[in-house]
Amino acid sequence: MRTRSIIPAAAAMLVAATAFAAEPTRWLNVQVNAVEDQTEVELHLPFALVATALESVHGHGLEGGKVSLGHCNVDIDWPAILAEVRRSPDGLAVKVKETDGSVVVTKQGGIVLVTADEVDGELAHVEVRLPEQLLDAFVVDENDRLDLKALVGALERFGTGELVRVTAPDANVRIWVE
Amino acid sequence: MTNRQRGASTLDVVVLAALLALLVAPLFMGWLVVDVRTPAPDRVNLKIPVPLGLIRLGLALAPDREMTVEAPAELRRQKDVALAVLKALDDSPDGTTFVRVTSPDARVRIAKEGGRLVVDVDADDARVRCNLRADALHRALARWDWQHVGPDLALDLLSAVGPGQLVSVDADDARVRVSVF
Repeated sequence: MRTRSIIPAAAAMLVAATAFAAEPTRWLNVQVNAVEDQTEVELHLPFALVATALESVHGHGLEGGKVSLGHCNVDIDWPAILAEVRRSPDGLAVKVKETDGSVVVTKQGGIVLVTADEVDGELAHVEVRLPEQLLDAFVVDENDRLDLKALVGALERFGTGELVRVTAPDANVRIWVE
Repeated sequence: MTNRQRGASTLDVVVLAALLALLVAPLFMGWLVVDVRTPAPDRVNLKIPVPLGLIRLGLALAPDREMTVEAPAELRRQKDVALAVLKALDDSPDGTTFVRVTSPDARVRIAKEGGRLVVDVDADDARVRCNLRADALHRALARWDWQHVGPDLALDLLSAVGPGQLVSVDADDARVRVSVF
C-alpha cells in the first residue's frame, strides 16, 4: 500500500523536476575572418548578455533595444513584405535581379532562406537562414524602428544552427546559434 | 615597593599596545605586491609589498581635491552598459571564452575562468594577462558615483580584484606582477 503511493509521487516529482530543470544557456556565435588582415574574430556570447547590452546601448540609431531603420534611407514596407513571406507556400517566394546582384527568398519546411549574390563590386555571397517563427519578431513600429531586443529574444527561442554566412573576397562572416 | 613602581606604568602599556597594534595591523590587511624584474645588464629585482589599509589611511589624510578628477562625460554615459554587461558576464558559466581575436601580430582572449574575468593579450613583444573578479568588480563599480575618479575608486577596485594575481606582464625587457593578497 505504502509502495503504491510512493511510486506515483516519485513519478510526479521526476516529471516536475524535468519540467522545471534549468534550460541550458543559449549562445550567439559570430566569426569574422578578415582575409586581407589575416585577422580572425570569434565572439561567443550568452543571449542574456546580448539582450542586456542591446537594452543598455543608446546612440547610433539604437535606443532601448530598438534600432532606427530610417538610417537606411530606403522606403520599405517591412510588415507587408514579411506578411507576404509568411503567407506564401513552400518553394520559391521572391526573386529580384538587379544589374549589380540578385536576391532570392525561399521558404522550405519552416525555414526562410535568403540568398544574395553580388555580380558587381565585391562579389559577396550572403546566405541567411531563419526559422519562420522569427518573422513574427520582426516588429517595426510607427517610427520605423525595428525591435532588435524582441528579435534577439526570438533568436534565443527559435534560432538553431547557422543563421548567416557571408562569403566575400576580403572577409567571411558566420553567425550561428547553439 | 608597590607593583606599579616595580613594573610598567599604565601609559607605558597603552603606548606599547598601540605600537604593537600598528605593527601587527598590516598583517591582517590586504596587501598589494608589485614585483618588477628586468634582465641583465640593468638587472632589477624589485618587490614592493604595500598594505592596502595603510594606503587607504594615507589617502584619507591627503587633500581630496588634489587627487580627484571629474570622470569623462563619455565614461559617465556608459555606466548602465558597463554595469549591465558586467552583471551578465558574471552570470555566465565558468570556462567560457567570450572573445577571441587572432591576428598576425597579436592574440586576444577574454574568458571567464574560476569565477574571474581573464583578459589575455599575447602580442609579439609582450604578453599581458589581467584577472578580475566579475562579481566584486560589479559591486565596486555599482558603488561608484561615476562622477569622480579618485583614490577611493582605485582602492575599491583593488580590493575587488583580490586575492590573487591582478596583472602580469611578460615582455622582452621586463617582467611585472601585480598581486593582491
